[in-house]
Amino acid sequence: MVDAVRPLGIGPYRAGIFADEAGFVAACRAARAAGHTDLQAWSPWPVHGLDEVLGLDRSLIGRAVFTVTVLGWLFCFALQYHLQVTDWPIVYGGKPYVTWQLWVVPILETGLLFGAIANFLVCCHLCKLMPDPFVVLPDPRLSDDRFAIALGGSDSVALDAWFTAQGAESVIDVDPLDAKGEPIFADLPSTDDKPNADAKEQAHV
Amino acid sequence: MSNPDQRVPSAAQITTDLTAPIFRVPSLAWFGGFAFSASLAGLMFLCVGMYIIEGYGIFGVNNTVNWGNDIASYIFWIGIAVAGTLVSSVLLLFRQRWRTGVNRATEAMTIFAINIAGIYPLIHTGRPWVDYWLIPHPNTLLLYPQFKSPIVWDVFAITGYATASVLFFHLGLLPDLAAIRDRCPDTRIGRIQRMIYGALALGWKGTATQWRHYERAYNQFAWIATPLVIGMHSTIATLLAVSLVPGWHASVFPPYFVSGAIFGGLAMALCLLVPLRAAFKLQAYITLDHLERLAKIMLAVGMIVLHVYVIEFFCAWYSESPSERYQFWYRCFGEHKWFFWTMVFCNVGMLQLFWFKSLRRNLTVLLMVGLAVNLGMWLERYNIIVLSLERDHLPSKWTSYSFQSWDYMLLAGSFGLFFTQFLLFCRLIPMVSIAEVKATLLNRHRASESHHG
Repeated sequence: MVDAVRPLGIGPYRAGIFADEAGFVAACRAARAAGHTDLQAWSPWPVHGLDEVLGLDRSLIGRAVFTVTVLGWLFCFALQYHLQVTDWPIVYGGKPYVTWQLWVVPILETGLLFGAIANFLVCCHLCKLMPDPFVVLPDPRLSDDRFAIALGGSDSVALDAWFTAQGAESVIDVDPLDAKGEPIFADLPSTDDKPNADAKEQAHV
Repeated sequence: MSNPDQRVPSAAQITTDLTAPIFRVPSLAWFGGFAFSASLAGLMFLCVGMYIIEGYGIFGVNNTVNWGNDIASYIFWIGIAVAGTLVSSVLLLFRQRWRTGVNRATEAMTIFAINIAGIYPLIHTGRPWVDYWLIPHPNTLLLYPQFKSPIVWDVFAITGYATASVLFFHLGLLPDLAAIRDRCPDTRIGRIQRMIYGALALGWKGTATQWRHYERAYNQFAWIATPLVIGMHSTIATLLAVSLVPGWHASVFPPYFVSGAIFGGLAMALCLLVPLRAAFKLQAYITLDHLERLAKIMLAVGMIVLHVYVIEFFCAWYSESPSERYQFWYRCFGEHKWFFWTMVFCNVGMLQLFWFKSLRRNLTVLLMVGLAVNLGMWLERYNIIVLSLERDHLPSKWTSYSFQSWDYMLLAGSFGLFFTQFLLFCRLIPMVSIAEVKATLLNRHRASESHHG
C-alpha cells in the first residue's frame, strides 16, 4: 500500500524516469489520485497543466511583487517630498514645492525597479535558489530530455512495479533529503478524502 | 531535399545543437572577429581615458552644439536596447510562441546596448568622477537632484530598465545554465565549467515546485519590463520635448522615440540574427518564419516612424514659427542635407522592400535593410540633436558641428564594445532559449502529429 503520510526517511524512495511528457503527466496524476503527498516531479521544460495535476497552489510571487512595487512608489514619493519640501525647499521656475505631477515618472520607475528586484529575489527564495555549483540531479538527463517522479513507499519492489506499469523507462533510488538536509518533495496539499477508486487501485504498491 | 527550417529535432538534439558552441574550440573567424571588435572597444576606453585627462574639449562639441555625438549615440543605443524588450516581453504578453527562437539574442542585445548607452551620459556630465551626485544621497552640500527635471527622470528610468533587463535575462537563463552544468564533461576544464555554470544556475533543478514559481516570475517580468521600456524612452523624448529648441519642442516626441527605437532595434536584431543562424547552424531554431515576422513588425513600426516624419514637417509649417520652419528647411537643404536624405533613403526607401513576401524571406535583403536602417536611425538621432542645436532661435548663435577624431573613435569603439560582448555571448551562453524552444517546438510537433492522425 502507498503510505500517503509518514515521516521522511522511512522506507524506500524511488524515482521513475520517463522519456515522454504525456506518460510523465499521467503518472503524476495517478500518484496524486493514490493520495501521495511525498512526491516530487522533475522536468527539463515547463509542463503545461502540471500544477493542477499535482494540486499546487498559485504562486505567491504576484502578491509579493505587487506589495513591494507599491512600497517602491510610496518610498519614492516620500523621498521626493522629503528632499524638495522638508529638507531643502527651493522655488524652482515659480513652481510650488509639492509638484506631484512632475514626481510621477520617478515614482513609477522606482516602483517598477523595486518590483523587478523583488520578483527575482522572491522567486529565488521560493525556489530555494542559491549559487551552488555542486547540485546533482537524480539523473543528469533531467535537465535535458527526461522526466522523473520520486515517490516514497514501504516496498521498493512494488514501487518499481508501479512505475513500470506507468511506463517508466527506468527506476532509480533517490535520497528524500538534499545535500542541505531539506526534503526534496514538493509541498503538496493532502489529496481528496475520496480519491478516484480506480486510480487508487492502480497505485496500490 | 528537406528544408532545414522544417526539421523538428528531438529534445536531446536541441540541447546538443544549442550548447555545442560552448563546448568546442572557437573558429578562426570567431577569434578574428573578437580581436577586431575588442580592438575597437579598446579605442573607446582610450577615448574615455583621454577625455578624463584632457576634458570635454577633445570632442567636436562647442558652446552652441553642446550635445553632439555622445547624446545622438546614447539615444541610438538606448533604441537598440528597447527592441530586445519588445521581442521578449511584449510578445510574451501576447502569447506569441514564435518569440522563443529570437528572444534570447534580443535580450542579450538589450543588455549589451544599454551598458554602452549608459557610458555616454556619464561622460557627458563633464565630471564623471562626481556622477554619483545624480543619485539622491545625504551630503554636506545639501545638493539633491532636481526631480522636476526630465534629466533626473532619465537616471531613474535607465537604472530601473538596466537592472530589470539583467534580472529578466538571468532568470530566463537558469534552466539553460542548469542544462549546461549537467552536460559538462568530466575533464579538468569540464569541472571548472561545471562549477561556473552551476553557480550561475543558482542550483536550478527543474522540479515542479520551481517551475511553478519560475513561470509566474518570468511572466511578471514581462509585465514589469513593458511599462519600464516605454517609460524609459518616453522620458528621454520628454527631455528634448520640454525644451524650446526648434526641432525638439514637439509633443509627438515620446511615441516618435518609442516607435523609432523599436524600429532601429529590430533592424539591429536582423543584423545579428541573420549571420548568427548561418555561422552556428541554427536554421532549425531561428527560422525564416521568425525573421519574416520580425520584418513585418519592422515594416509596421517603420510606417509609424514615416508618419511621424511627416507630422513633424506639418507641425513646423502649421506652427507659423519661423524658427521651426527654418529648422526643417535647414535639415532638407542646409549644409548637412545629405544626412537627412540618406536617413530618408535608409529608413523609408529601403523599408518598402518589406512589402514583398519574397524579399522578406531573402536573407541578403533582410541583412541589407537591417544595416541600412541602423545607419538611418543613427543619422535620425544626429539630425534631431545636432542640426536642431546648430540652428536655434538666435541666428547670432548659429554655428556648425563637426566630428573630431575622438568622436569617430568613440562611435567606432561603441560598436566594438557591443560586438565584443555579443561574440562572447555566442560562445558562453545558448543563443536560443533551450527550455522554451523545447516546450514550444515539441508541443507544436506533437499537436500537429495528433492532428494528422
